[in-house]
Amino acid sequence: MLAVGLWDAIVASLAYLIVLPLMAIFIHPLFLLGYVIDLPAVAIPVIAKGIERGELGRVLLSLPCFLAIRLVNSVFLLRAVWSELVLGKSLLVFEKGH
Amino acid sequence: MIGVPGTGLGGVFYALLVVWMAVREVGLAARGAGDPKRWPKIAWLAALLAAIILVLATEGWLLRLVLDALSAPADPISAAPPDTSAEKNSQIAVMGAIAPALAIAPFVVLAAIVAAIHVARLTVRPNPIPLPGETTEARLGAFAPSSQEASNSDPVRLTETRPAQLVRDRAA
Repeated sequence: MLAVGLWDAIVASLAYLIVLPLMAIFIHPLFLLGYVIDLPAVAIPVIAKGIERGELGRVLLSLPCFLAIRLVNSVFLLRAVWSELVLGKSLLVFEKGH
Repeated sequence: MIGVPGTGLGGVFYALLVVWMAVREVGLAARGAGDPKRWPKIAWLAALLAAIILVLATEGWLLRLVLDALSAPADPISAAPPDTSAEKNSQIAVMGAIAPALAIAPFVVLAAIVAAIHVARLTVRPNPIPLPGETTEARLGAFAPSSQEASNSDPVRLTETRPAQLVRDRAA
């Protein structure tokens, strides 16, 4: 499960930040739909849980934010992978930044 | 419990686990070891999965309609579409060719990852040196030495931490 999650995170991050923009530019702008095409898969269980908790409004407001935060997460994930695997700077040790 | 579905391989993994839960429960019930209390939870997860598949299928159908509309000539009465339409048609044909591959790819990649993990499990032995605060047994798991092997090995090696090992290697 860890391997699947790591693979997903790395490949999806590369797709969101590099592959999809390039395909949208060089093949067809419709490839930009790739940013939202999986929203139903995420939205259905979240909406179901939101109804159960009586928080449907909050769920519906949060879904567009999820799309934005996913892009930000992609940047952080790729930075972490670069740091861990390429620079050899392990994230096991926390270094206070200020 | 299998959690909430993600996207990509995580979503495929979720779907396969839901199917596996149902298959496993049927098998257990056939042997008389099933638990009827598990079925409502499995049914709820299967309903979520069915809803996701239904919505994604609808989305795919709508996309197909959009692609077909885009690939149609701008003026069907005119004899030949302009050159730009031909270029657009080829681009849309590329998208149409990519879509089925994208649908199959997660299953292929998931199978490859699971196979790679099993190959690694059988061939790669983990580092026997524990991290600080980690016991050797917890780190090695199934590779942990038997009590006979442990009694024959250097007792310091089983308790020292990675920095201590690094210092010793550098000194050597």
